[in-house]
Amino acid sequence: MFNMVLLKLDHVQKIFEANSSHPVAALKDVSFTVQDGEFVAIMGESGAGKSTLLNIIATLDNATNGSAALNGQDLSALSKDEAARYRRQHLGFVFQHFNLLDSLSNRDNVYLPLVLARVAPDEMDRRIKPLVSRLRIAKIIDRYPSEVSGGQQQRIAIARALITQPDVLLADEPTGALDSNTSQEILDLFDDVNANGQTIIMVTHSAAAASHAKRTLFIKDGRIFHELFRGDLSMKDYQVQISNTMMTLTNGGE
Amino acid sequence: MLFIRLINSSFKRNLRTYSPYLLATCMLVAINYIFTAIAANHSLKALSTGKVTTAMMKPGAAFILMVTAAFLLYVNHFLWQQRSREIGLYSMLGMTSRNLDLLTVLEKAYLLFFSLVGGLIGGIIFEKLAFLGLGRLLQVQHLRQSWISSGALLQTVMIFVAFFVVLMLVDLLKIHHLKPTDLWNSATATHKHHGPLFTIAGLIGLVTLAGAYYITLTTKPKITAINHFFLAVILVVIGTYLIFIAGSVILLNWLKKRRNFYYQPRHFIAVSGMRQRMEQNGAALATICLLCSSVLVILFTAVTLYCGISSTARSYTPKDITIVNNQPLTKHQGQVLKDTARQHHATVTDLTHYEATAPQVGYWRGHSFVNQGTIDNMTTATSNSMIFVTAKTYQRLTHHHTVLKGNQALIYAPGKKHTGRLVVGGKSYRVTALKKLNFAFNPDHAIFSPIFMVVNKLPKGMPTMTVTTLNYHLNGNAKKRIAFETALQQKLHLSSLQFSGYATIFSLLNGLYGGLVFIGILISIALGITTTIVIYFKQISEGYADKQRFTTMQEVGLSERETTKSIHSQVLMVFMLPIIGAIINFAFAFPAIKQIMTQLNFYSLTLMVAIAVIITVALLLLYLVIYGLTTRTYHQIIDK
Ligand SMILES: Nc1ncnc2c1ncn2[C@@H]1O[C@H](COP(=O)(O)OP(=O)(O)O)[C@@H](O)[C@H]1O
Ligand SMILES: [Mg+2]
Repeated sequence: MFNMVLLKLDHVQKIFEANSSHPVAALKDVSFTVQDGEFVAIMGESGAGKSTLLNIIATLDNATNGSAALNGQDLSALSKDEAARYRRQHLGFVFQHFNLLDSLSNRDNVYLPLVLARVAPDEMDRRIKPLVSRLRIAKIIDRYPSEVSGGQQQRIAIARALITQPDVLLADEPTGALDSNTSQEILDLFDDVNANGQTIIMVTHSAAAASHAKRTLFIKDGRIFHELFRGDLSMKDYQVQISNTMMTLTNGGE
Repeated sequence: MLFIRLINSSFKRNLRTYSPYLLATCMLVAINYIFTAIAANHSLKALSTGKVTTAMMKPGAAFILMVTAAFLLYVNHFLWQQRSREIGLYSMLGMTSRNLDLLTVLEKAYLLFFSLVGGLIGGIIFEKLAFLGLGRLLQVQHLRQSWISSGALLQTVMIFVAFFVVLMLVDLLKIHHLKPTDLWNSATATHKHHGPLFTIAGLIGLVTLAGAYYITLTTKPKITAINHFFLAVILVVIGTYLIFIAGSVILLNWLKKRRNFYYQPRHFIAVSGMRQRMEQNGAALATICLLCSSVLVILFTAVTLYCGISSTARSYTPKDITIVNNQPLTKHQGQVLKDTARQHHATVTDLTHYEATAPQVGYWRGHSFVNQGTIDNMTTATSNSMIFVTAKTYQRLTHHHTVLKGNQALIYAPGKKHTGRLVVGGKSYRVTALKKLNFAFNPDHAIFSPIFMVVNKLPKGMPTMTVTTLNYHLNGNAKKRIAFETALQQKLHLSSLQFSGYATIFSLLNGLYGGLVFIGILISIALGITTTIVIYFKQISEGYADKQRFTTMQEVGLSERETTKSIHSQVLMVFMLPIIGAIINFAFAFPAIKQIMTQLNFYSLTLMVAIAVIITVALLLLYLVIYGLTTRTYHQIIDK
């Protein structure tokens, strides 16, 4: 694995409704880097600013201050249209509520980013094949999102995120709407994908989910509060550590 | 009271749905009241033509009631979908079904109360206006009415109470047959798979519509024209529904199968999006389309009829009075005419008479006219009646110097071109067409347009008639003219077919067609209101559905601009489809209506086209305004 910096956040600050009488400082001062091939979890309580942080990395939102750079590209320098193109070329998303288009079949949902990039139909067929077997979606690929279970929808969403071979896979509470068994399957998939070299940044508030990552960042009151590496720990021990850290975090102790 | 507060808060939160709904039900209450009040008006019944007007009100009122019922059911269904989550939440929070029943009953009672109060106040005010308008259309001044028609009031209240009781029962049944979790989920869209039956339905739709258009295009001015037109209407209704529901989806599915077309950014989003929209909205869009089509056809027919009154009356009697008999006025009759005119202070001018063959009905087969004899022998093939006059008569009445040699003839046949050789009644003629014939008229008052042939000698063996025509001058209004004409007809002992007075016929037709125009306008308003609300609610439901699509499309890499453009063009397309369909339907209905108008002796194509264009443009503009206004709500939902 190369030790190359893929993502670099530098004193990122995000203030919502800055000009109103009640500005909300969702992110106060966040700095960290992510190496190519890493699997990073971002943890924090609800309202801590996790989604805000992920949206800035995803170019769906701009930082008020500070800079975020992906592969050396300053994200805030992109215009809206450039950001859209950048998203479909370099980023993949997985969300809590899957966010599939109900008007498209599962297959077409996976194809969507490729179609936008004007990839030829035969090339799309070629690219989806390995994903179909790896994500075990052969049976459901030609059905519609409303006809499959939540876990299956999330697999389709993962396929959609991976088919562009993105620089980084961003996941916001990917198991938040799933039961524990299905969550486990999805997380195992993430491990598998990461083992193949895919960089993943995952936002979660579940210690079990975060324990799959190699590194966990804790965020509180808009700042990075702590950082935990899995190192040689077993997943179980790592999860206990994460839970303990979360506990301290919640109780407000330093 | 907790419930009152719950309902109040629910009303406030759903103001966007409830306020236009209340406005629409108020207007429907008002229109229903206006219809019943006018149908019950005594001074209208006392008019000579009033019976016809009141009789026409009945099917009109029934139609509006049907529209109202369909509308209330549709909106109720829509409100149910919107509120099912709320009801599901209440039920999960522990409200018993008894509580929910009470909630539903109270909600319906509220809606009914406000609809009735608002609608009846509006109805009572606008009924005055409508009645004045009706008086103008009928050209009568002495209509009387009470301030409030209590009978109509009671009837309207009873009808709407009945409607709302039905709606309430529907909702109560739904509450008792659904589990809370179902209530919770009923807003999510499901995908439909279609079998071969669906394809067949689409094909049938295409065939029926093509058949309907073929009928309207080939309608001939025969006795069967109206039947053909109604057959076409039924086919159009079936065809429009099938095309909107199945045809559109089949077409889009076919486009989807063409991979190199479908998998292009613009087509991909548009085709799949449209497919889903048509799946969900096909029936509603077909309904909007048919509502708009009927508004166009009803208004057009009514206005054209109304504009054509004088030309229809003139076709019965080109001069002020036309008498058809088997001999000229006798001395005694001449004296009666003089005496009656003096009594009514009328001065008779241009008294003249001429001989012509009695009308022979028949039809054209190539260049020969198949003569069927008198009107009693008509069949479904009959299209015209044929009348011969001599060149001498023609010259005397038109002051055109005319010499016809041998088998030469002049022909006057409105709406049809004839030149060269023609065979009529076994005899061959070399004819020249006349553009105008000032004394041409329709002696039978029948729907077969008369053809006049000017020949050297009347054909032998054909029965003849003597036509006496005159103008008269009278200082006074139409009422006095009608009185004179009626008196004269009575004293001459002539039937209505023998004696035609322009003033009498004009007022008769005016009563008939004026009432039709009035009903046409009221029906159009009712259809307009319901269409508006259907469009408005469609916009709301599309808005909620599109909100999520907007986010998802941007997440996967569409720019905001691309997303907005693609979704808006789809929404625009969805809403333009019905009006475009309606205009196409109308365009195909036009030739058939024109033929029917020909039977009523209305020949002015330019006027008909002008009326059609004005009505179409007006409806299109109105539609766009409605679309524009309702789109604002759509944007509010999307941008929130
Ligand atoms: N568009 C917005 N406008 C105003 N405040 C926002 C907006 N989005 C998020 N916030 C606020 O920012 C804070 C962080 O939100 P978020 O990043 O969604 O938290 P979470 O960690 O639960 O994902 C919250 O206090 C939230 O209310
Ligand atoms: Mg969040």
